[in-house]
Amino acid sequence: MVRDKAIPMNLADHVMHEDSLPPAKEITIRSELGDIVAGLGLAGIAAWFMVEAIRLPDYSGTAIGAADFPKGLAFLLLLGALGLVGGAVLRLATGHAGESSTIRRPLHVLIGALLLIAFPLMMSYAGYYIAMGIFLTAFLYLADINRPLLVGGCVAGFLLFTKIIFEMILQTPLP
Amino acid sequence: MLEGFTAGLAAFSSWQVIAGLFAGVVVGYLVGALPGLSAGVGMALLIPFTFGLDPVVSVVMLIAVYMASEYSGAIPAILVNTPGEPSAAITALDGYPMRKRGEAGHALTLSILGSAFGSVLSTILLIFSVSWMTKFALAFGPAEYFALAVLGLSLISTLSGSSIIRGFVALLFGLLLTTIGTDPVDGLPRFVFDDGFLSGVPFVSALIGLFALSEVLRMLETTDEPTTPMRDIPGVNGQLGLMKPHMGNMVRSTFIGYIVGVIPGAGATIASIVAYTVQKRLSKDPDSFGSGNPEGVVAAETSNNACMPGALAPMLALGIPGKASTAVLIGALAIHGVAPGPLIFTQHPEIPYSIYISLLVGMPFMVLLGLYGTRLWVRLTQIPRGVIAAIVCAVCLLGTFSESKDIFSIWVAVGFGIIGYGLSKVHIEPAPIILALVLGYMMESNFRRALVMSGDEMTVFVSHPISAICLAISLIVFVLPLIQTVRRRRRTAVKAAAYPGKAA
Amino acid sequence: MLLRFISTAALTVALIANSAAARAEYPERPISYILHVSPGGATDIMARKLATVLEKTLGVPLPVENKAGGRGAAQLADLKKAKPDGYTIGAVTSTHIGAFNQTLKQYDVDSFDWIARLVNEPYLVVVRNDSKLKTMKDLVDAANAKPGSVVMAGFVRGSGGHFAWEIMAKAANLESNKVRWVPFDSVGDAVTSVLGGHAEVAIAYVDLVKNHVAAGNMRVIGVMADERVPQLPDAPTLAEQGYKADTSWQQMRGVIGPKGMPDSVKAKLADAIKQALETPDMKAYINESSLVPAFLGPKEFAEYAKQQDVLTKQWMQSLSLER
Repeated sequence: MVRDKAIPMNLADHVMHEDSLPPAKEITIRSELGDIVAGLGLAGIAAWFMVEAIRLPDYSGTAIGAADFPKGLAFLLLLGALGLVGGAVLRLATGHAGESSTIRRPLHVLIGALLLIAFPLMMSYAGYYIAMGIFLTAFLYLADINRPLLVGGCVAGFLLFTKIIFEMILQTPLP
Repeated sequence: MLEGFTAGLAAFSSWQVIAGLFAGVVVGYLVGALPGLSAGVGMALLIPFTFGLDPVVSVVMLIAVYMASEYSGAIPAILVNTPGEPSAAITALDGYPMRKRGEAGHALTLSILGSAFGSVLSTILLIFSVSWMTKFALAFGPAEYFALAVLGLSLISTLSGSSIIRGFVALLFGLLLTTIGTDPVDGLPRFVFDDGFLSGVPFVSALIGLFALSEVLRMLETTDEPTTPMRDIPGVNGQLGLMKPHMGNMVRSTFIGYIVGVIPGAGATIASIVAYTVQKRLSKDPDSFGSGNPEGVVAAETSNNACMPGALAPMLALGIPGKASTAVLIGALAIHGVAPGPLIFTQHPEIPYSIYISLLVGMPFMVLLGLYGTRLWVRLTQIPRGVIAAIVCAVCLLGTFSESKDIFSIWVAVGFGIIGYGLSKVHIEPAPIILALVLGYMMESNFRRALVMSGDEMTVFVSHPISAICLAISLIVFVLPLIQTVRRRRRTAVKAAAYPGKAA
Repeated sequence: MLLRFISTAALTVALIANSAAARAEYPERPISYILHVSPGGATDIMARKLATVLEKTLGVPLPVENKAGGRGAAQLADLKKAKPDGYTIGAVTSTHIGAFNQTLKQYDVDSFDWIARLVNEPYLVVVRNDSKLKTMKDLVDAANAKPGSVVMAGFVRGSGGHFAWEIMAKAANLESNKVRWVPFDSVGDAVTSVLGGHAEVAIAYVDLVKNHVAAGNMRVIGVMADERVPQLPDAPTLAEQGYKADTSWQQMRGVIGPKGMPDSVKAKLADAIKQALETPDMKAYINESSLVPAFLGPKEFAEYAKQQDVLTKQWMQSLSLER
């Protein structure tokens, strides 16, 4: 990749991206910060599992029951996640921090993620074909395909592919 | 055995059988390449078409689907980091980095040749060892399955790069996810915050999310760049020549795949990861595994295809469906009044032997399709990145839906896609999560089953020989890299302390 | 303009009339048939076979949809949502009734319309051929002599097979917890564990064991039915061995639909199913799979389901599995 061409920016910087070739906008996060966020997130998940597991009824008596496996795993994950956080804090404190994690074109990625979330929503309300048509068009533009003919061709082609392969041959009922 | 072969060959003289074989290979090739449609689903979809066919024709067709889809799952894994079949997730570990370097043709060629080699050699093993392999298959009870799952999980150290803690966190996260759903012993719903999770986290959706959709988000970072230049692929003879340096690897991986395949329920994913690990240990260049070492592609693909004839051993000789695809085969045969099991070799010898023959005869056809197909697939890498990202994304969303016919599964895939993207930014890779999702249920359910059987006597796990051996190996596998890492870290203390997750 | 209005109106009226006429002639469009199992298993194959035969009798396609998961949760959620117009039907087995009382308490037998029962399958007690247990009496004696020494493999706790064992144990005056019940993910897995010698006894079905019995690997020590099974002429029934267990407790397969279907639609479906079961194709399949034809129409099937539900509840209570 062309990281050397890109302009590194700090965390606060997420300015609008101009639709042009590289260099593009980037968010650079110190990897310690990423570790802390991910570690805390995973620790939260582990804690939720732990709480839920404690509330489960136990039919096994003294033996290994339905709740014991998840409890053990959640405890280990909690330790691991906190270890990740601890390591990051240690590196920050001792000044060994160095590496960074880069998200290039963060706005594109964010919109892409939002589109992904919007797709199942659209599909429940508008049915498959409309939802996929809108999704694919938007996604293609997002992915820098801005020749209308190419976008239209891709969308039409894909919907036709769906119709023939999935609906007619594989008999997938598409809402 | 000879009469069996004559019966099988006689069945092959009809044109319907040959047509069925070719049709099956083509269908399997397509089904395997579409993420979300696995071999089992593809075969099940064909069942209604087999009602009117002769039993031999239908079994030959279904076997061809099975064989071809096990191979073609590697195509999207290499091209777009989207495993078409779960086992191809291991192929993607090195196949996709190769494609990023412009070596898609090389990787695809190795994957078809490895697959073909594994499949043929494993079929020959099957023909000669089917009857005594059944004893091995039956030796696996709850204690043994638990130990096998632990052994599989201990291989995590090969997948987690140099940062052991990240590998662990990923593995535990995956294991915890497998406890969602109905509990295996008491039937108690656990952590089911949505009814869709009653039968557990849908595996295919999670796989597609973690690998494909997170990759699509990563692609969005770079869709403004030109495509990677493609390296020329040699002619077909040259393609065959690529196989040469990998012969030892292929033979080893085939044996691993065959033996793991025989164990009902173990499956191609475990076979791939075992072969991958073994190859990494034996390789002269273990550090490049995970960043595009062709040996990794060969090991994973050879073993997951070798697994398939292995899985046929308990199915044919005992009527045990080791996994979804063989269960479909049993069902398809039942329609025609043929029951796989101890009597099939005397009552219907034409069935097992026509299966053997179709595996052997279908292979050259599949290789040709694969080698010429490679030329076509490689051109796909020259399509603008944006189009690839969008189409992959659309196929994945559609594939997840068609697998379960439920919008819920799309939600799961999208959720895992975003989580996977986030985790990859902190160097937590999806492979250990997938490994855990494959093995977690097997580990817990058999652990508890074994304890119910023994009356809560923990010693069962060491008093059964197979279980004890598996546990011992996993202890070794688990501890060795830890020691190595600690040593390495001591040697380069300053650098490693700065950032241990570098190569993850 | 006026002319156009009139012609449009006429067309509309004709369309309405047409659809009304069609409604009288159910079915007029495809009927989706939703299963609770993944493709390839015995229940799936039989449903697909039935669907192809029904397509001929009813004249519309019956696409089969697999909604596996949560012991029927996924399938039942779909059925519950569907309109009770006869265009959505589902497969049902005894497992569903068990689940209504265990994990799927949001439903009960009254949540659905019972259309037709198809077949029954008796429960068997099987051991490996080299087992010391030759009769039910051996099994009962062994369990009494050393509680916990006999390991029995079967489907999940609270499944039909589990209750079958409880019923047998009660008939034999044996405390059922003297035998260790090990739940497996499927009855097939349970049979495999007996073949491998990991469990001593399994509760199974004819189709899963008949070839192993014929090959001399397994032995059936008891059949929970009134008569011996044709495929296993040497296997004695429980009654022959002096144990009077309730033989009406069998694994059943049937067809259900969403609550509130018109009686005429139910009757039409049940009729078509009855005809379908009589076709030589279906008959041969049922025989080959060692199933017992046991057709019941909507009314009788609903009564049967209620009665099975009552029995299930009793067993749940006595096993303290109820939750």
